[in-house]
Amino acid sequence: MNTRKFTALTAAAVISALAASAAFAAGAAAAGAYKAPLNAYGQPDLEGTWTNATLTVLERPKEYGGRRAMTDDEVKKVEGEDAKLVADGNKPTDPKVKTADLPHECGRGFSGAGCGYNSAWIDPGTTVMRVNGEPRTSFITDPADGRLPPYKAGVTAPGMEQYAHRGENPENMTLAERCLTSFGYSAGPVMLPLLYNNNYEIAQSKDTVAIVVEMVHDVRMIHLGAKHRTDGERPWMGDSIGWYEGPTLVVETTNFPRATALRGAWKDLKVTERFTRVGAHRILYQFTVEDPSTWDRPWSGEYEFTSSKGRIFEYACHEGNYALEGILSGARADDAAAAEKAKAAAANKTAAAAPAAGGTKKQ
Amino acid sequence: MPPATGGMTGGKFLNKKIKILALASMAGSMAASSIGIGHAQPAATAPHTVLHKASAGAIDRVGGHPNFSGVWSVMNTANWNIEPHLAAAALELRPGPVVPVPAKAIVALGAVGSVPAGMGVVEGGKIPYRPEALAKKQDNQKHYLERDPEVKCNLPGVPRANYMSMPFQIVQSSKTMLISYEYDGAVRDILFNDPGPAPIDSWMGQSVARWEGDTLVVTVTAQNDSTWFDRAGNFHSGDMTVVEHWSLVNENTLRYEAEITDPATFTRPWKMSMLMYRRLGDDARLQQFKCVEFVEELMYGDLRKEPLK
Repeated sequence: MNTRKFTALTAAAVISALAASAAFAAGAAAAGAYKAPLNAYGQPDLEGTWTNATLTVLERPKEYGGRRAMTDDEVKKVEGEDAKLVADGNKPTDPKVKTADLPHECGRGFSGAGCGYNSAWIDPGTTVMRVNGEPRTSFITDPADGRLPPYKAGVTAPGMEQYAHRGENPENMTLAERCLTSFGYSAGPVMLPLLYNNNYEIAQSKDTVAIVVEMVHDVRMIHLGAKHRTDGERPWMGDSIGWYEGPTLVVETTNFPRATALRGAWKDLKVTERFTRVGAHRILYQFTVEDPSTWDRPWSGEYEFTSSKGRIFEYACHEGNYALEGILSGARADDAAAAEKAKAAAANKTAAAAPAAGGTKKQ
Repeated sequence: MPPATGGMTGGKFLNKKIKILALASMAGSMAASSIGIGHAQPAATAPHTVLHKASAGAIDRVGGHPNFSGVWSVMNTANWNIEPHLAAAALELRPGPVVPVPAKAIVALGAVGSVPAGMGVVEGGKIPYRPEALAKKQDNQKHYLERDPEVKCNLPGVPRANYMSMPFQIVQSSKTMLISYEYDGAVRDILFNDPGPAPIDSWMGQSVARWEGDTLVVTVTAQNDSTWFDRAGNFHSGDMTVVEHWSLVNENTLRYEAEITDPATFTRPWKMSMLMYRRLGDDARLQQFKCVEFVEELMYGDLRKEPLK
């Protein structure tokens, strides 16, 4: 092997390593171009109200193939289609329309009664996610196809089995319907945007970083310089410890509870998040997800938080949760109606059968 | 894995000690100001004089203001009843053959359902209710199990959030202050820029703060009328204003005052005051008390497909 060839191979290996963490390299470059302010504790200042609302999703839609970046035309199309959806959804709903008359498909996966959300009630973002200016087709950057790696042999994606008894008991309803968490994975980690209320507030003290998540007024307490708990207890949102690496806050979370599994992973799940201020109004958010009992390989991604002018309002979910009572009451009413119907059917059957048995059918 | 740092336990307090010594020489003005807020320092006995002097100047500061960051809690029974009270068999009683006995729903709790005594936190001892409001308070207490918002795991409002038995954590920097409560994950963003009247009432209200010397003054408005002051049925209307005064007595003790103004309920403004103590040690960490799931049987048990007998 000559020297030149060896050098070329080494360079290839380096390039390959860089490519594997291309996202993070880009982040570091962006961080280098901007001098992040320090707070009074000498820490990178991440405080403020932030939002991750965006039209970009965690997993890359298949039409983009292996492309991390969207073309200008694609951005125009996605943002234009959304603007049309918003405009259509803002039109007044005819009060005479019944749920059966509502459109079967009204965008964002809604149909029928779900179309009752006028645009004013939702806030999923209006723009494609830009990371360091590059419009993105997905949050996931590794694997390169922007999609979750396949589950390990023998592991299956979580389905709707847990809701098979929906309506029978409060515990059979989703965590969101019970006001225990957001309906998506808002608090995370990984913190992922959803249909509305994609707002977060970060506060920092010497030994703690607190992240207030609008839904459902959850607060992630990140303990700086601490160790993971070893007592086997698994708190909501897992057990987050953190430290600073230069301009970056690194947060490592383990001890996730089963209730808030991330795509089925919880027991051996480890999520590492990196928060880097890359602009006055931008935080680069990078994450790596590992769970050797669920996936054969880690997966990573990134997006940017942008500063939000407003403040977070109280999302008092449980206090106004008339829906849960309504759903359970409705289910009991259905039970009663079904019982009544069965009773009537049985009575009819008896009535119909009686003449044959007795042979006294009146003419 | 994280790099090996000093950690937040032993190292933190060792650092604090060093800081105490470092600050002691330049702490004259701070010591004066902490005395200047009007709260007497505990008398130091001779062997502790040096330590006491150091403590008086050892208040950590951030952005020029006292740093309240940490995990705090009261050591009183105000959440049971903010007025002075003796221990009692239960808050909700029913007539017995000889003396009143605990309401049926409380009997199974035995001594756990009984009320611990307290000197009260209301200045002057009694809350100056309007007559009709006093009648409502008394009726509330008779039905506290059905009406106390804490029983249903509702957000507690201010000031009650501050003196529940569970702790809260203050996360403070030079420009931000957040109060995160263990109970029900209640949270308050303390606003240092007044955004004007809140557009809507909420359970925890809107907190607007300013520093008066070393005292943090927080005006809380826009709270709804659904929270109580305690389990004993003490209540307010939706037009209440609470003005809180928070100040450090020493690095591990906060003095807390709240002035309540609510003309619809009370004949005059009144105050409550108490001390709050810093949680120290390895277990000084805010836990989660997401009680919403704990009250599902109470709130929705009768709506199960097969209600429990």
